[in-house]
Parts: sequence; structure tokens; C-alpha cells
Amino acid sequence: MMKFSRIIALFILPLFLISCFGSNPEDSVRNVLDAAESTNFSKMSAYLTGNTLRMLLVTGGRGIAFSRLCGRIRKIYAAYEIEDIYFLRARYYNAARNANISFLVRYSYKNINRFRQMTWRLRLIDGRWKIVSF
Amino acid sequence: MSHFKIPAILLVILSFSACTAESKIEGVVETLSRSMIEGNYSDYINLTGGAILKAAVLNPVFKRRLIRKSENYLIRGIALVDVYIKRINVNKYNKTAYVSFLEKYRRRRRVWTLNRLWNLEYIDGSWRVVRFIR
Repeated sequence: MMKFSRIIALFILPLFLISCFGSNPEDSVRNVLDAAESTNFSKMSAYLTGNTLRMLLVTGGRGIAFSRLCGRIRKIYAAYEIEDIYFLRARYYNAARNANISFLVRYSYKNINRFRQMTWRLRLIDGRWKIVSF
Repeated sequence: MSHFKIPAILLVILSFSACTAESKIEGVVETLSRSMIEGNYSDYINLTGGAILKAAVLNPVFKRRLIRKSENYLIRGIALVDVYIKRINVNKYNKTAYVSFLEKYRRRRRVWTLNRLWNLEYIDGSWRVVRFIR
């Protein structure tokens, strides 16, 4: 039993280390889209930086301006539902510290599938990918 | 304890070597080249990025063409025997890779090879083909 547990630990340890190495910029994109959909101020502020963060702080997570910002992030109004996200390109710069992520959002409106392509610029700050501009 | 150490170290080395970029790229190239000849649309979508993926997602004709092409290969008796990787150049700073490989085909007793060169990018946690150069 002892040997068996050791073998399991040896398999799990590398997987755990790999998972701890860092997050993907694509995960940040997903999180921001989720936050914009649910208009979650605190979650969104954790994934923004630069002018986008300033815009968010000015709105203070309230009012029409905040909902407009959410709309601007998604470029889709709140009535539309995001079905799926397809990542097209991921171009990394500055030793993989900056990234330009192109993706395609599939959303449904009046039971018709529509697509919207977006490119966001992200930067690795404090171990987390944050959106610089969209 | 000493009799346990050698297999344990080997296990750790094997688990780490399976996670290298080169081994992952080899798997992607083999799966994608097989999916192209076998008409596996889901594999094709998962392992491609860029304009190719966009075209595939937006255009329903693309799926039909892929399946029809694979059926034609089957009727003519053409089969993909194996994929031989010649060279993999990984740029770890930009997270891009170029892979040069040979596809070996067979029809009855006739055997021929095709020389391929593909450009890959690290998108959404896995390597995906963004450009078929040759």
C-alpha cells in the first residue's frame, strides 16, 4: 500500500507543478467575458490594467457607464448570449510577457448564430494575464 | 528503499519528457494529418487556428468538402501509412514552432511521400496549426 501511494504521488507531483507554472491569457479573456456578462465589478477589475482599468474605476461598477463598458468589452449588448469562444491567434512578444489574442465569439440572437471577431492585448503582471487594450 | 529509487526517477523523467513542446507538436501533427485524410472534422477544428479555423467554423461547405475528400481517398484506396518528423524549430519566447515532416501514402503496392512544412502557435493551452506553408 505504501509503495502504491508513492507511485501515485510521483505521478501527481509533476502534474501539480505544471499546473502551477502560470495561467494562460486565454483564461483571462474567458474570465473577463464572464465578468462582463454578469456585470461583476470585482472580478473584472482583477483582469484589467492601464486605461481599461481606469475606465472601470471611474464608472465604479454602477450605472449606465458601467453597463456600456461591459458592452464595449464584449462589443455585444447584454441581451445577446455568448455560446462559444474560438481562439484564432496568440502572438507573444517580449519573451512571452505581452500577447495579442485574436478570438471569435459565437453568440445567438433571435435563434440565429452570429460571430464577432476581436483582438485584445494582454500583459503578464504579477503572475496574471491582464488586458491592456481591446 | 534503494530498489525503489531507480524506477521512481525514471517515472519522473518519463512524465516530464512527455510534456515537452516537441512531443506535443509531434502528436498534433500526426493527429491532424490523419484527420485530414480520414475526414475527422472535430479533430481538424481542435488542432487548427487562425484563418483556417475561422473559415471552417463559418462555412458549412467546408465540412462537407472535408468528408467528401476523405470518401474519395477511401474509394481510390489511398491510405496514410505514417508521418515522419524531420525537424521541429520551437521559438519559446514567441511560442511559435515550425515543423517539417514527411507523409507516407500507399495505394496497393505504390508508395509515395509528401514533404510538408507547417507553422504552429501555442493557443489556449495546446499547439495548433495556423499556416500550411507547404
